[in-house]
Amino acid sequence: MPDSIDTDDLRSDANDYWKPWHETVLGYGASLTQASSQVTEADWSRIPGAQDVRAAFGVLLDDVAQFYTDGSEVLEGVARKLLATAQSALEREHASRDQIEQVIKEIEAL
Amino acid sequence: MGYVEAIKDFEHGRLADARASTEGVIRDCPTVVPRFVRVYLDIVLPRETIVPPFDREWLVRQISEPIIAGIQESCRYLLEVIDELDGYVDWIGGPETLRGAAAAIQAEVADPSAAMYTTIRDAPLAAVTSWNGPAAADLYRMVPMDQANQLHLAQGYLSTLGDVLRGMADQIETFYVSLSAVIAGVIGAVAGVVVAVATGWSGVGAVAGIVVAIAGALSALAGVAGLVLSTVQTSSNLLVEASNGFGERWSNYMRFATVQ
Repeated sequence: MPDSIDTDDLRSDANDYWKPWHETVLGYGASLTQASSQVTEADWSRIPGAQDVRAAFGVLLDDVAQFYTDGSEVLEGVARKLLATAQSALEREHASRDQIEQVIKEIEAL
Repeated sequence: MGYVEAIKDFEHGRLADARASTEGVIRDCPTVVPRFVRVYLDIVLPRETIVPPFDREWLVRQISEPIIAGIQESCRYLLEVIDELDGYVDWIGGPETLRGAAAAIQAEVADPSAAMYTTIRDAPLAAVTSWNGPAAADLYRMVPMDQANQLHLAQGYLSTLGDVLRGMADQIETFYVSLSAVIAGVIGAVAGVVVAVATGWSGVGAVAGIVVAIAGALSALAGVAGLVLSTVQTSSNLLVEASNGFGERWSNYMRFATVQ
């Protein structure tokens, strides 16, 4: 059992850093998809080979967008682990029900 | 109307004019050519030198018909060239939109993502120092740097996405500028035919003018062929760049927080 866990620190790391980072990185994937959705098939031109380039570009873009989505989930997972650790510590320390409920709400808000 | 639509309209318009002029030559030359042949005959074969009952109109027809057939065949060839160029005009895509998407990726993803790398790496995370004891805490200290590095892995691929968009935009504009020059050449050829047929008959001069004009159209078409080849090559390079693909996966660092 850990001999020293500051649950406030765990919670502030989770809520003030990892949760916003999760949202920001998730937004990168959405921004990529949004940026490419402005470009129509016709914009790529009918120059021979242009549509092949468009298709390959689409695959690469989807991969990068997925990378950000995966990353945002990892960042969210870090926040979740910190809050779960805080919850466990509070339960072990027999903290008040209100304190524990507050952490549970923070986990649910992720 | 965007500028792409404007240049398409412009090129379609001047090709339509060239088509109308060429069709006019096909339509008018059966009338125009015999008129000039008569004038020509009057010069080289004055009426008083011809012994009746020589049929002068028969002679005009004999001279005119192969000339008319030659001019009409040349003009039909020019119409084919014009139609082909008209099709190429529709190839032009939207370079501004492609560049806009590249700029959006840079401004909304690449730049903030690069800044985010530093933000995560240097974040003053409290639990990094206060969470003492278990192995999980030791691992947690490494997490910000690790996650910042993960985020940074995408940076090169974002550059590739922008490069492909901008490369395609450049290629489209190069194609358009070259195509426009080719179209100008064909329009010059059509004008040559029209002038040759319409500005009076001077022996072989008109026929020579038409030959020069058709040669101009031929070289224009060769220009288009070369243009298509070079653009296909550029497309192929961009395709390779885009197809090299994304080989990164965001590693999962969840294991750090194994709380006992």
